[in-house]
Amino acid sequence: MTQVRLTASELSAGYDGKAVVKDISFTVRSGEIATLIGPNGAGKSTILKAIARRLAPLGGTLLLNGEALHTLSASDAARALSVLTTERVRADTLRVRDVVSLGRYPYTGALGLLTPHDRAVTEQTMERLGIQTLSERGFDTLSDGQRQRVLLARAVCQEPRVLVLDEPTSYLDVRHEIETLTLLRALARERGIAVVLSLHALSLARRVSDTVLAVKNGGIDRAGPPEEVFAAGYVDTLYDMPRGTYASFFAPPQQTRERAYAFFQNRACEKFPCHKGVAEEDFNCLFCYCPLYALGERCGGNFHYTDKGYKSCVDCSFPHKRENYARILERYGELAELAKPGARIRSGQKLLRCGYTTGVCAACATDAAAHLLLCGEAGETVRLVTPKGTEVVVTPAYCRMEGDAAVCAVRKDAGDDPDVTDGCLVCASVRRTASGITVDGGAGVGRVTKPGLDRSVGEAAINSVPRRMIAEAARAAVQEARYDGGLSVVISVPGGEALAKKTFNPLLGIEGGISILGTSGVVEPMSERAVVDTIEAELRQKRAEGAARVVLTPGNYGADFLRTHALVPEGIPSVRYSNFLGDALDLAVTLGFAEALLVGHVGKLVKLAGGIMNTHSKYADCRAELFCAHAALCGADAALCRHLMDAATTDACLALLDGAGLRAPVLKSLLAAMQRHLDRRTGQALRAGAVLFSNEYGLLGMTETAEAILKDWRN
Amino acid sequence: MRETARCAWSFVLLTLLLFALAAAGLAVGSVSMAEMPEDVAARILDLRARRVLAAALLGGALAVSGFLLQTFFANPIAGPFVLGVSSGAKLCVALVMVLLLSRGVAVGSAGLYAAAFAGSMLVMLLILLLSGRLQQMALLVVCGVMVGYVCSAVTDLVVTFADDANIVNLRAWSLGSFSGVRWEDLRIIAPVVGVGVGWSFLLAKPMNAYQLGESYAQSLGVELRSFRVQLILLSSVLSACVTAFAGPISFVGVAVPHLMRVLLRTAKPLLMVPACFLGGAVFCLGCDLVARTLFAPNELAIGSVTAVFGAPVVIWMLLARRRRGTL
Repeated sequence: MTQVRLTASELSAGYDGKAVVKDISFTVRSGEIATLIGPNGAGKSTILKAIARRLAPLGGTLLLNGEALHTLSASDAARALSVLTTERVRADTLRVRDVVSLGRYPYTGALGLLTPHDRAVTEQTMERLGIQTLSERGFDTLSDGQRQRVLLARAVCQEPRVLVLDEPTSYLDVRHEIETLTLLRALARERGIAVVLSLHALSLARRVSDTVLAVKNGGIDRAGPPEEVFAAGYVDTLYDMPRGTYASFFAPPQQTRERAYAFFQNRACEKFPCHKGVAEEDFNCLFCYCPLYALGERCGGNFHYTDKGYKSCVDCSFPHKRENYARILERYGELAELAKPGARIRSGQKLLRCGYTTGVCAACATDAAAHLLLCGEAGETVRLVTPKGTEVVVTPAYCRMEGDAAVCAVRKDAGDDPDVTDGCLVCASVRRTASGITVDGGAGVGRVTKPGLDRSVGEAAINSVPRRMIAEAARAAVQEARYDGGLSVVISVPGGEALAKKTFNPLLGIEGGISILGTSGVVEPMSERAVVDTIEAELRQKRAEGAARVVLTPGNYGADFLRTHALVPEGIPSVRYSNFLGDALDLAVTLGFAEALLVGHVGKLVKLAGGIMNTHSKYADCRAELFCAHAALCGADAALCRHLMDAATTDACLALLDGAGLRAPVLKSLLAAMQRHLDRRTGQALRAGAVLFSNEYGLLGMTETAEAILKDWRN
Repeated sequence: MRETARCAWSFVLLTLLLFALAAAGLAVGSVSMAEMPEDVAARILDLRARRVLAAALLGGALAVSGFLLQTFFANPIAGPFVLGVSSGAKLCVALVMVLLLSRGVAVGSAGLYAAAFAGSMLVMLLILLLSGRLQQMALLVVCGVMVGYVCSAVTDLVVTFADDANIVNLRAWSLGSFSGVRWEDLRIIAPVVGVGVGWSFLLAKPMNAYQLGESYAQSLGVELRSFRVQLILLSSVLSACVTAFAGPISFVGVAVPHLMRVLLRTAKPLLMVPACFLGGAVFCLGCDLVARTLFAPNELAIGSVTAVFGAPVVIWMLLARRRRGTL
């Protein structure tokens, strides 16, 4: 194998006497691959054409083993150098073998007849390039990949010492691209061919080349081993891209991988990669953690509702697709937003906008008024972080000086749960004082007249948390203005006195106006918290008045029953607990009550027999089931049980039991169960019993503890 | 090998057909030779021999000329008639005949041939000029057809203003016929066609390389410039010869090479040049026979007959290419 060396020194080449490339210098040796890279129009093809003798050099030299390439005869040159160009070959009706054997052209006689040697070389070459199976095919019936391979075979069949290839992979898919270049690499090594080629695929250039020649603006901008040329950021410079473009697109493969989300990457899930094959009744959205599940109809996926009303996604492949990422990310954003405290609250199936409390309004008004007083101007908006961590931004309704006082008003926004105070103005009137900060209520803010509340009797009904918020707002303004005196803040609510009549305030002994409430600062719509807070306030008040015994009733029925039946002696306070039985019991325990008597309609209270501590029908029903179960325990037959299950009301259940003569034992059984659950909830701290009645039957019965309690109370 | 066998059989077939048609050409005619006196029969035979020889030589020349042009333009529908080269030759011949005959100068075979060659070369150069500008082969062909029409129109004009005496001559010639060929003409035709086809055969090797495309041909050692000049000159020499002595004959140059490619199942020039020559000869002998005998004693224009047989072949070829998505 003779060694070969192709050397260009200060080579210039171009068209019509005009140089397109200038001062090109490089050397390629046997077995080496030199790759030209660079932007379109940089001159790669021109350089290759000069090497392939398509263009005569306009300057400089191009030497093949020391001999000027362009002075060789056409046939000598053809024996030394073969090419693969981007020219599309239209060799119609030429067979693959004919095309490959054309590589023998420089070696054949006047008529181009092939000698046995030529034929042997042709066959060997086709075998080496793996195209012998194509040899009888017409060239025009081949795919692009096969054609390129055949043309490469032709070039190799020419037994060249230098192989010049212009974009040898331009028509090829990635597989053929890799195959072709791998083959080229092997051929260069095996046969000691010096290979010069141009490539656009940089990743391949990097792999296949011994030398990379970066061509730019008609010159070689950089040359060297690939690791040098592809050093940090050079590709971006070469192709005039913003720095990092290439790297961000290609370099670390991790970055181009699809981002993974738990809902479809949960490989631990036995149903991975999708829900296929899951029985509908087993379906559970947690299989995929699909973040869009809760969107119902709007999720965009493929689902149907089962006859039970559940959303079944067993055939859904929607979240697995990349194009849905944007939607899913958006949904994640929404969920994150929802997870923030205070912004939105879920109530049943609705998401409600939160408002802010009167306390926050008062604090904001104070902030604005204090600034107006001390700094001469109030901001356009007032920003405040509530104790719960939510940021509230409000625009005061007005800010003005009234005499020596600065008065600002903020309109209350109760959010999606309008209460009586929604839309009313909360005003703060701030005056300078000698020292200290005082907070008081003015017109429309109630006064405490009974003990047991957050404030002592005689004080303005401004709870301690809002009071602190108001004081802090004032203090911040003082500090900001470097003012060394004190401030008096008076909070007023125009029309507050009339509003207060629609609230619990009269009941709580708060007179003359509404309370400035809000421990969190944020109104939670449909808030159960508010109800529980009211129960707590009432219980607290009763306890403060000295009561150790309390009657708990769910609502008006219980209160009426107590009144009409005079079951409970005078003086024992009663508190309505709505549906919050568990909370009421817990509060009674923590507030130190000794005895509590539950008096309730069987329709509500029977749920206690099942341990249900929140009797709202949205949490649990089970009344018929409880009746049925206890009736069965007492010997009811299947038919009765079935009828009980079908009964519309508890009164109807009782009628059925009457008919079967089972009312007394079933009620006894139920009451026993209720007592067990009461005891479990209250422990030893509180003695609690339950009394059951119904509007139709009157008093139905009571638990043993209730009997004992009533006996004590009557004595 | 099957392909070699196929080629061999094809050549045998073509040669047999050639002889059979030549024999038929000599034997068949509007008059039966057996009924004639001997000297008349001899003269008829002489007439028919000239005609058969001319048809074979010129037909072959036309087909080879077409094949050369197809190689040059890398387009299978290129041909002397399609590209307007034949029409150019026809115009030149018509001009020379009208001008010289009107001055009472008789035009010799060599003169006619020179005029035809000049005409072909002029159109050929025009086409080459256009081909530099028109990259698309379809457009080039359209241009060639247009040039051909312009030349034909001018020829008609010339004929219209010619003397009555000339018109008879010109009409017959411009329709195309092998009947007017004299032994004198054959003395020019034979060497020109012989040398032209022989030379084309010697160009088979570079033509093969050229089929891959210019850059490949060049890299294989083909001297492109001289090769191209040779191709153009040869095809013009051959087609001019036909036009000068037999008038414009259409479609042979396109249809015959295509039929030969189909017959041989290869486009190798080494086989195609002789095959085209034989095929062209057979095709024209056959067409001439049809022209003479179909409506005997009336004779059809040879151009019409070749068109009737050649044009469908061309259409078939175009459809086949369209199916494969290449034109």
